[in-house]
Amino acid sequence: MRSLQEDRIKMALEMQCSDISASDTLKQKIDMDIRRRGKIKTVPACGGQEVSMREENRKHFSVKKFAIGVAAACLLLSGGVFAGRTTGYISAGSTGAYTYDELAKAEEKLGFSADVAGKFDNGYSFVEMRVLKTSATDENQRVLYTFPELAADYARGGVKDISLYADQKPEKGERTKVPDMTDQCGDIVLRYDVYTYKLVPVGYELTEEDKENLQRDDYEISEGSDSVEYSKVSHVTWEKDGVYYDLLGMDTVLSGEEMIGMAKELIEMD
Amino acid sequence: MEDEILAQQLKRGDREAFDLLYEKYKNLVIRTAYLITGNKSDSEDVAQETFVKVYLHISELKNDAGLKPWMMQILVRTAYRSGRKRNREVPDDEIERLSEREDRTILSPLGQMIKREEAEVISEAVSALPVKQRTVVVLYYYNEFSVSEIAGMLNCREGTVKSRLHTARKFLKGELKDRMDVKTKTS
Repeated sequence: MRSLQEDRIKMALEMQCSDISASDTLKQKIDMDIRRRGKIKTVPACGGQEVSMREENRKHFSVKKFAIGVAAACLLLSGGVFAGRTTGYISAGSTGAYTYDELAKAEEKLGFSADVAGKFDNGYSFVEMRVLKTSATDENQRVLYTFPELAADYARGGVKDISLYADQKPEKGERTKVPDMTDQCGDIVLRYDVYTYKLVPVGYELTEEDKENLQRDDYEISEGSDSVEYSKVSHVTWEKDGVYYDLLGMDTVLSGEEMIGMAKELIEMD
Repeated sequence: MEDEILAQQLKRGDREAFDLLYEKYKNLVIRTAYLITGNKSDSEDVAQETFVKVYLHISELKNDAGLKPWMMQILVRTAYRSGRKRNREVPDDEIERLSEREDRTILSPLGQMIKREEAEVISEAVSALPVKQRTVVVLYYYNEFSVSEIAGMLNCREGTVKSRLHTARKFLKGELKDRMDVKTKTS
């Protein structure tokens, strides 16, 4: 459910554009444009090829490979060195959200069982979960393979800044980055990493400081924003029973110890 | 008519289906384009290009029921390209439109539900967002797409959408506080 503040944003946007409507000549211009391009077709071929959209789909991240979040949510493999050719992940929309009581249903779709908590000791509560179809892509955005992934959101005090991802992707990357913290829960090793993302406008010139920062394993710069923005993304990652888990905090106030505590609660769940 | 049926008819080259699609979505498309590009002139161009591309590339739509998100995906990409091309001057017709808006005194029923001043502050703050954050805000709040649907449209992970929404909300919160404070002090 959206808050009153969020409803106000929607209403403000509706008011902002309420007096905008298609001109009387727009349809005429569209029809003429279609004719001009000589493509008024009668029976187009089905199962079309991916041609024209590919060009537009090309990403413009030239400083480093990832956009914020693309890297943020897939750091099990990131850090500069990749086991295969995988350089990023793209999630396709899910078919719907599941409640906590529908975990079994979500797991059935997922094809494996995952540890998902309804509530954590620090007050974070389950909001919803989805089963995503995630594709591993290479540096040319080609899909290498796809796998199902569970994504569960958690909130505390109305702030939804923690998500849990679980998957059984067939490769596990080697990371060069030294973890910011490690811990152990039984035989399971937990690692905590914090990454800083700087999103910059296209054509942004790197400063000396940027160049130095890019040498770090925990720093990414991506083109594509109108202004310079920063985001901090923290992860606790571990593997249990063949399932890879990533507890992700987006600009969260939680410390590494607190996030590791949440991960341990998940691991020790009955 | 259901989008799935519309898509199937479009794939068969049915021009009437295209006319129906246009009538169904013309205002949604042009308003979304306006909210993303920020000016009326660009939004008309973006709407035109979006409909033309939908017609010419309908065979590339894999899931017929997903016609609307696919069309919005085309719109967003077209709007981004348009934004990169155009200079930042406000066209004359836009100045006129904005001044007309300022002069209007009768509030719509929707406007009566919300203070006009606050709505304007929110609109200004949304317009000041970087285009990618603004797009996510528009698709989420105006078009009411879910985070996962937006991720599919923008060809990115849900985390990316969440990150942009999160940053946008933070920015909006700060801007709203600052701007309402200024308005309170000056009024």
